[in-house]
Amino acid sequence: MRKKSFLIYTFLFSLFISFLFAHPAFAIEQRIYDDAGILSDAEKEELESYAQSVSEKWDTDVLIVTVDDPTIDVKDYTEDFYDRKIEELGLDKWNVAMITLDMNHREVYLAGFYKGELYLNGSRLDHIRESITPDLSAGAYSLAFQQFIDQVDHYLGSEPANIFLQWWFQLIIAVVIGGLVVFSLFWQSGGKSTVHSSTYMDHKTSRVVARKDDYLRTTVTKVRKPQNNQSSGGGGITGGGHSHSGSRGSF
Amino acid sequence: MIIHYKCPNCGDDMSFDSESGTLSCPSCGREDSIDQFSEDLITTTMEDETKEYHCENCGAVLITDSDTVATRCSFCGAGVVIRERVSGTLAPTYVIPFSISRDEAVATFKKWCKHGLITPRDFMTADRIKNITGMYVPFWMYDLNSRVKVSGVGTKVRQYTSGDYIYTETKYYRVFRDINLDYVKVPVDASKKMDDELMDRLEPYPYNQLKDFKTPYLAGFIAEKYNFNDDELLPRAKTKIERFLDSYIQSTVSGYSSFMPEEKNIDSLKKKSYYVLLPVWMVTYNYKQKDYIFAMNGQTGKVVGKPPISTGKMAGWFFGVAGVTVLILRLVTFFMGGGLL
Repeated sequence: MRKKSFLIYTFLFSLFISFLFAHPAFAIEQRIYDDAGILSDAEKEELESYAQSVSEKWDTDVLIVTVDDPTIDVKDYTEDFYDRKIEELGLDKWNVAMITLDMNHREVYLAGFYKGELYLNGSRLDHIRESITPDLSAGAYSLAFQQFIDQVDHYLGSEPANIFLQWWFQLIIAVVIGGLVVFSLFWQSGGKSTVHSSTYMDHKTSRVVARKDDYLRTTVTKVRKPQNNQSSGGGGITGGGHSHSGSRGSF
Repeated sequence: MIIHYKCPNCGDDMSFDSESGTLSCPSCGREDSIDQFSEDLITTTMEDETKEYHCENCGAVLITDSDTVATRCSFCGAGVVIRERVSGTLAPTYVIPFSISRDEAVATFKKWCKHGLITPRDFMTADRIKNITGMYVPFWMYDLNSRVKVSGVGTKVRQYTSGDYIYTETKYYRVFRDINLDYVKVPVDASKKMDDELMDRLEPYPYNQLKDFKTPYLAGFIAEKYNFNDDELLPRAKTKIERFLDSYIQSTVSGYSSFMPEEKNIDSLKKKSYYVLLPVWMVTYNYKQKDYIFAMNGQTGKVVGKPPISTGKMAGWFFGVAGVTVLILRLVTFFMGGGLL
């Protein structure tokens, strides 16, 4: 009886929590922005519906952007695009997985924002980019975007990228903490000595009689500062203050 | 010869009362202050090896072994002290009397059992105390002087960034310390019957309660004489202060990031030793046909000894703590945008 009511309470509590923190449905209509005009109408329609279904499934919008402009940098363009759109939507946080194709410089940039960043970190985005680059190089853009959405779907359906947020690692942490608690309870069950180093010390006569500290030598070692791997683009923060993960490359 | 305390008023057997700290008579309530008690123990140094003593009340044979100093007559309950065994070289210098009476000891023990976090539920009721005995355990207390000369290499590490590099600067020093340390009244259990580790865990005793030894303190309790003399137990006292010495040495080099001692010279000398009787309540508890021994500090009420362990409760703690940890971690994951399951 007690167990049953406990389960019900847990269920209600989690329901309450999920309502409290549920993200509002987005009013975004369009997810494919083919400014470079590399996709046919049929392809656009197909990608649009696929992107919509994955977006709704994971509460993370999948955006595909192409651009053909000699004046832009693909990463800056992606960040500005996100800032512009989030302002239009009037949101504080907007979960996004995004790919931007710069047809003029033949560069590609993948980015994850918020939940997108949590599940798609730099190395996962690198992995996606590397797997679709051959198709991009071959000009099979629609297929490449298809694969991009496939993989975003795959990663959003698995564990977060951060090891501390993954099930198995959390389970290990829990087992270690549980073990330590039980061990210390067992250890202390028989009582333990509360004597410490000054219990029996005579403070009046105990002291350092003589001390000497002679300088011998100094050694200096140096290591290069760990730097963000700029070659693949990496993540960053947009002008609007939204942090994101990223992966950059050419095709 | 045995010492037997008869009430001068009514003739009943007197015993030490832990509450008032006096020798008191349970029948007429007479209380004799022990501080003023005069006795001449040092003169009677006859080493008597007779093991049979008779109760002066009822004439029954007192059950004693060669270590018994004080006991109770098992027939009439009179508290007696065997004079030869607290005389001469066997005369204790100090005693810490009991401040916890038998009833208080039982209550304290029951309270301790109730607070056991991993003991079986039916042990927590503590209703099967088989035996509780107030016992003066012989200890040697040492005043030790240690002269420590230690030298080694200390390092100070500083990190700073300049340009594209992180620099780690390590400064090496030759460190020398000459330390004088005095430890007073380090207790070491001198009874063969008592488990050393158990007795160590009863520490510390309140030393402000140390009294000059007088036999009336023992009336009504069990007491034993020492089995090892002070020279035999000196090495144990020295090992006991070793970790204190190490932690003191560490505290003198706290300004360094690391200190590696290369030469350590410790010279510990006994300055003084005292033969002391310390109060311990020994509790025998029967749980599931097995006896468990506990010891309680007769002044502070601290209880030590391995209680029975409930594997069910251990498992409960383990899964409870682990489960709550997982729940918390999952909630954190959830709030960061991850899934709940």
